[in-house]
Amino acid sequence: MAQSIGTFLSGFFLITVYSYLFKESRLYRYTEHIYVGFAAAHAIVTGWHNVKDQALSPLADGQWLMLVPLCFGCLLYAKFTKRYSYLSRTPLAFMMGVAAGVTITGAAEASFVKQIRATILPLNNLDNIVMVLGTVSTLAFFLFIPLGSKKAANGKRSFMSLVSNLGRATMMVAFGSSFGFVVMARLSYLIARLQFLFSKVFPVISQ
Amino acid sequence: MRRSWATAVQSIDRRVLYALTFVIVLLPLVRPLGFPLNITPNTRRAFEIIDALPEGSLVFHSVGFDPSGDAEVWPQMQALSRHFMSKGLRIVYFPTNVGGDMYAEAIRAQLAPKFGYEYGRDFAILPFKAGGAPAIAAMADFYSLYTVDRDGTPLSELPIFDGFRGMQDVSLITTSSTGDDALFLAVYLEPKFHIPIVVGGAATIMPVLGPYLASGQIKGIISGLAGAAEYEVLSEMPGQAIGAMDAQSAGHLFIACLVILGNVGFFAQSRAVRRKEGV
Amino acid sequence: MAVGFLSGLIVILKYFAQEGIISRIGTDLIAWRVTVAAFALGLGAANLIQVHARAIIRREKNADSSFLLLATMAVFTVLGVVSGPNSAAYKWFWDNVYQPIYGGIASLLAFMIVSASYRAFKVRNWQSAVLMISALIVILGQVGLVSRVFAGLPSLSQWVMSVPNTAGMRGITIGGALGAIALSLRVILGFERSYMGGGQQ
Repeated sequence: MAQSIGTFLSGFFLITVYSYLFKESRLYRYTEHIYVGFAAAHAIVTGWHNVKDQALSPLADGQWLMLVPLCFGCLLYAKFTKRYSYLSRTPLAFMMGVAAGVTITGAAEASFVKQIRATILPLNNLDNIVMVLGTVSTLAFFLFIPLGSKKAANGKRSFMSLVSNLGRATMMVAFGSSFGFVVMARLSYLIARLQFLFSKVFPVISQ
Repeated sequence: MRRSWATAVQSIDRRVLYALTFVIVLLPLVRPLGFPLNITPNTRRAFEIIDALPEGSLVFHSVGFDPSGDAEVWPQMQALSRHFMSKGLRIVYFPTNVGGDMYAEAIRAQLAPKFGYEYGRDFAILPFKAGGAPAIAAMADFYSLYTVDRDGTPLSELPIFDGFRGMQDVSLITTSSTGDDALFLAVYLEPKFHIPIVVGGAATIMPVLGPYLASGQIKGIISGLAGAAEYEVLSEMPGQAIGAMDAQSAGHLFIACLVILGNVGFFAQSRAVRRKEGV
Repeated sequence: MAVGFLSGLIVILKYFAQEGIISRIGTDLIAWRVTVAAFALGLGAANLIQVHARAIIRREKNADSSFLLLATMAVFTVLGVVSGPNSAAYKWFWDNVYQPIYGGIASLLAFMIVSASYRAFKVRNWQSAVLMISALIVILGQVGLVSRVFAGLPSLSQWVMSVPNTAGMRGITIGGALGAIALSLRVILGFERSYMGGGQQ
């Protein structure tokens, strides 16, 4: 019984959401607000269980240092008061400071040194040539944009402008393939909902 | 004034497009067309790495998605979990998205009983940890981050964590994710522990991970719903992804046709304008 | 601020000091950061309460929707905190209310991308031509039927992904890493304070 009601409710909400494609109705707006309400509730519930396990339970076991993150966490909410909003700056600075430290140590090795090392390839086949030229020219496009747009003294295109154009072409290939994958992802979203709608609510798809 | 065909071709009403999309995606679901499926080298490599693990190996699996992306990642997670369980691997699910724990719970309720997997002994679910990159970085000192499982049971009471010192004891990390956790794992855990990482995730994050795959920081990639279907074929355990592949192919063809149609109209119109201006 | 500077500095030093007091403090700071981030999960909800409660009190145009939002939030927060997210009731509402709505809203993007591909994806210069060709190769490379007719298409699509795409993305990754390091240094040294909401100071 609960299963049937659930299936009916799911189908009803899905159809309501799809009605948006033709016209934004009051029913759609209600559905949207229910979703936002539930999402916020789930965030609170998850946050509460996190805080309980990570800070309140250790505090109850005598780990007094846990008072620090607890106080920082509570101070975040000071931003909703006009008078004490400045207090929220301390936990924000703490969060940003730790995140910045973590980013520097991670990015320097994995996304910088290792990526450069992986680009040092012997130029003995087409793949390696494209890889090295593509990477270097893309970087050059970002780092030397002003030079890329300059023309040489005789009015012809400068070397940097050629490199810049090659970088641009490489990025266009990358963005084009990214678009291809976005198409793939978005279609999957629709397929899954139609699979549900037409196998459970209106059973025309055999499973 | 009559509209030229070039203008007409470029101004199809959006609702007509929506209706066509709906029908073109739905029809192959109702009546499968039997399009062939290409197995990509990336999925094959991912499958082979997992398949080569000996029984009892410990796998950490990140669950980094919520209902917005479950359409493509949930079939992947099921396909991977079925493969893990059929091989007798020990699995620890760690949610990296605020909604991820609900899917790990669904594995506990739906899939684990089918393979006789016992919670605590053969698999466990860790609680979600907020914070993105710092949360993954904190996993390097495992017990500073995790002391209890999702149910609040101390990890010391779960047999799967007997003798577990930290991430150095993990044989493989896999992901089912729509976010950046694969990237964070490659950045913060791979350099320190040299754990192989096999990424399953949304198709949209795959191009971004290309450099990490080429440099060997990530060992294999299962990309989107197509990757899930390929994995189902390779592991010989069909699921919901294979049935969706015809619809995916039809949708791709439709979009490619629309891009070409839009551009044909655009060229014809530009040419007509140039001719009118006498250029 | 001193707090940001000290916490950032200790986390960086922890990277070089694998053992000892600095390493232990660094580990604790990162774990605390995760706890504070858990508190931050409720910030969005607090903001929603502020905005929608005001709308109800002032009887604004869509006050009925605001009421529905706050009521939903209250009911599921109580249910999730009291009975836990593992309870049958919470799971039932997750599966039959939240999941279909959220998934449905996400799937609207499929229609949007169809419309965008048709209307906006126009070849206006050589860059957009390269972009379109690359996109078409990747899109059609996934279609089994097309690869039957053009046997080389899946390999070409794979090559585009693994060579030029990787080259472009690698350039962006290295540039992004440089940018992230520079920005992080600015945060730690206190030059970047816009995250506090007061703009550059």
